Amino acid sequence: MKSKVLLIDTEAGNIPSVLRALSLHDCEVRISNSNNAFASADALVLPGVGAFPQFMKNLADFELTADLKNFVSSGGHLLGICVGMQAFSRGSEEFEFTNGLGVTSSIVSNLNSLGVKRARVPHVGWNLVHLSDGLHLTHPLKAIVNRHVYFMHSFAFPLTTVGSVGSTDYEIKFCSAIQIRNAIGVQFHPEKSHKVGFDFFAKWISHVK
Amino acid sequence: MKYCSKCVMPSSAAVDNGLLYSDVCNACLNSEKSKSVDWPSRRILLNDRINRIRSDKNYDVVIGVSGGKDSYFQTHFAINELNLKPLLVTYHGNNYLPEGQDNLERMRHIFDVDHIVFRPSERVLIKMNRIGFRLQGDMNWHAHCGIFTVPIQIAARFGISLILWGEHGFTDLSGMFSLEDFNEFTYRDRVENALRGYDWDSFTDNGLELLGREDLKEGLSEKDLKWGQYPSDLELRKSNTHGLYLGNYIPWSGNQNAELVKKLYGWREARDPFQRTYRKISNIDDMHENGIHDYLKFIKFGYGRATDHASKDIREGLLTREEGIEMVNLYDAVRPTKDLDRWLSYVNMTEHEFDAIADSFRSPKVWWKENGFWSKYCIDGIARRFERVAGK
Amino acid sequence: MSLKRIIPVLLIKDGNLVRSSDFSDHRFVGDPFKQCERFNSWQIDEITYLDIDRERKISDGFRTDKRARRIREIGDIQRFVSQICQVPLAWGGNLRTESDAGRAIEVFGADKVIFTSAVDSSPSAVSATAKRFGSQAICCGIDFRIIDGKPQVFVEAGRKLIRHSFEEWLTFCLELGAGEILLHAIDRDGKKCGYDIEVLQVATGLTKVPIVVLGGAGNPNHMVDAVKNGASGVAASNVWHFVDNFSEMIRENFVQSGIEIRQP
Repeated sequence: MKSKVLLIDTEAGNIPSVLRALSLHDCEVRISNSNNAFASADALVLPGVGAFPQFMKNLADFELTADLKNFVSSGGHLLGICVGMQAFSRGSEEFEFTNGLGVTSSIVSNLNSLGVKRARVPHVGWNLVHLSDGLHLTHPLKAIVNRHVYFMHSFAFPLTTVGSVGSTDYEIKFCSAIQIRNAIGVQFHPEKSHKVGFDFFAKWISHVK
Repeated sequence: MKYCSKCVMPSSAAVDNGLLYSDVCNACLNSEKSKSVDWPSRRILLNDRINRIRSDKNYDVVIGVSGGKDSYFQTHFAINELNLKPLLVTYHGNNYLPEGQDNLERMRHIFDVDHIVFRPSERVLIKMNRIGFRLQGDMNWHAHCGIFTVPIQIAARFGISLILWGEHGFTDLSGMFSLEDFNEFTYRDRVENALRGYDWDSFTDNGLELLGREDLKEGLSEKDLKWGQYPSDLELRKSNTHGLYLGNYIPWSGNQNAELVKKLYGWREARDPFQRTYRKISNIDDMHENGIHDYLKFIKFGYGRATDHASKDIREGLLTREEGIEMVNLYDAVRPTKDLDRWLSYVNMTEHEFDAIADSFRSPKVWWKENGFWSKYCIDGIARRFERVAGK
Repeated sequence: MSLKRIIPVLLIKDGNLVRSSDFSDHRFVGDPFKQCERFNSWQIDEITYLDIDRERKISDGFRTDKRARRIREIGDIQRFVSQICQVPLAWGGNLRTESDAGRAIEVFGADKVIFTSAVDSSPSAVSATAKRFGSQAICCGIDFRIIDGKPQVFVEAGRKLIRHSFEEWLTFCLELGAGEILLHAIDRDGKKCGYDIEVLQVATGLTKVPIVVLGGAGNPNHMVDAVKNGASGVAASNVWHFVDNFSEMIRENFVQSGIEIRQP
């Protein structure tokens, strides 16, 4: 039985690329911005690009905020990408402080505020994610061990983030992967990370099953 | 339809030649620039490059040869000017004129070289002729594929780092690259331009199905077309094979090459005149190149090889533009009946079917129907009628 | 640390892929898509498409004898590219409004947009796009020529001189929200003489935002040079059409020079 994956279209996410990446796998993909579609989905994907305040506003406008929180707290499989991962936060300092979903109590800050002084910001390019100990072999992030993935961001979770399962070096270390229950958030873009990203999605989808 | 103000190339040329924005085509621009190129320093560059790949134990270079004037010249140059040991490789498309076949066979004796001649099965070739014609109006597609694949396969397999080509065809005709580019052979150029976006796997039954052309299936499979499979990037990196165009390093003239190799090696031109061009030094390795293959170019784009040859000769100062126009008027529209008869019998097709299929490839940017005839604008700006529209 | 990026640039004019010199000699080399597929297979870091049309004359090279996608307008190209490109993608050229940029990102899957002339003609569009999509999605292109030994900025494909200094213009781009700067040396376009290292050094001294260089790449050593002088990414448009498997040559060169580069 194919997993049913719901791709949430917040109108602030790179839907075409994520859709293309997911369609390469053995799953049924639907796109929606209605919380009615959550119930029939085995897993949700929340991609996000752009500014955090706009993203959270769109979530609110589509009345998805509460349902996403409930989905996560009831153990639902959610994959948040980039700003979609940042949405797990208590809030972000991008522009003015804006509340996130509060899935984790940590907040998102500018890389410069996290200590980046010499390296160039935004962080754009291919980098590594170092995983925390204790992740099971079948964990989707195991697909990207020692393999570069594509980052494109100016804001990030700090290393001490509650729920962090992976970190990345960029002059300082920041949290680049987070997991709360079955909700995984990744700062990098698996849909842009070529074979590595493909393997990550493959592992995530079988993990969902 | 616009024509170059210097030569006689049209804007409808098979490959974009810049006439959309300019009155002078890119090939003529290149020809002008070539007069002030520092050829001696390019020769030094070439020598440097050659010295870096020269081998102790292996062939130094692969030369894809048809037995034509350029093949002779390239082999002569590689051996006598560059001191290389070449391996000659020929894709034999089964369409040689006797004098062309003779020129080909004499090469290994004249130059004292090893020569691999690859001849695909005739039955497979006949099928490729038919599919090529029906799919893209080019029965000679197999030859473009073979010529640009087999020498490279051999280079990869023998671990030979260099392939020496003559001139880059589309640069010579349409000025695709500038003389500053020093372009080398690339897979993309081969597929997109030489092969029109198709490859060997377009001709198998599976491939034709994927293209939505089940009607063209002839029972071919991958096993029949190994000669058309370009080596992988990995293979070519292992053998570190690069294809250089001599035309980027030395001044290139087909006419001068012909004179030289006739004199030095007794190379022979075509015995009889061609129906569609005044030149007798080109394409004796494939009778259809100047014949129906070229006639199809006229049907598609409204010009033929006489235009190509005249344009090249105008650039070399051997013809005036007026003389070039005369050649175009004399030859471009000629229906090569002899050649057509040979081909129709070779592939077992009727003339009626030939005309109907050929018509399906006429470019609407060039041709229109008028009173049951195909019409187009000619180089003097006047619209004229040509063939009758093929009946259903 | 993040790796340095190798970025091919595909120039699109009249619906065709072209090679360029001096910002004026543009010649057809093929169609816009096959080369993208080659880059996918080489697992290149990023791809940039630049729409350098001035007059929107689609040459409609569509032929029944060719196997090619039918292109009637630039949107067709953007759409096909979004279907085939498997690596991070940037679109630039003829982007003047926020909605041009929005379409490139949301409809055509671009991760970044490159604003060049818009910085002059419609700077508010640049800043609005930055606010909407974030600075990491905005690259500002700075085309320049060296005049009397100093870089002078031009827009409109090198036709209009900007009467501000290079430094002022760069600062202005940053103020508008640029998350990356693409330095494009007009004089070096198609020359294979190497990148303009001096101007690169001026730029890296002025900002902490990633700087990508374009114009003059002829061999991998040029790229090594640029990286060693602070470029975050090295871009090239013509050289990919001149040598096959060029990305492997670059990678080998980088490794030999001790620069870490992403291996497929």
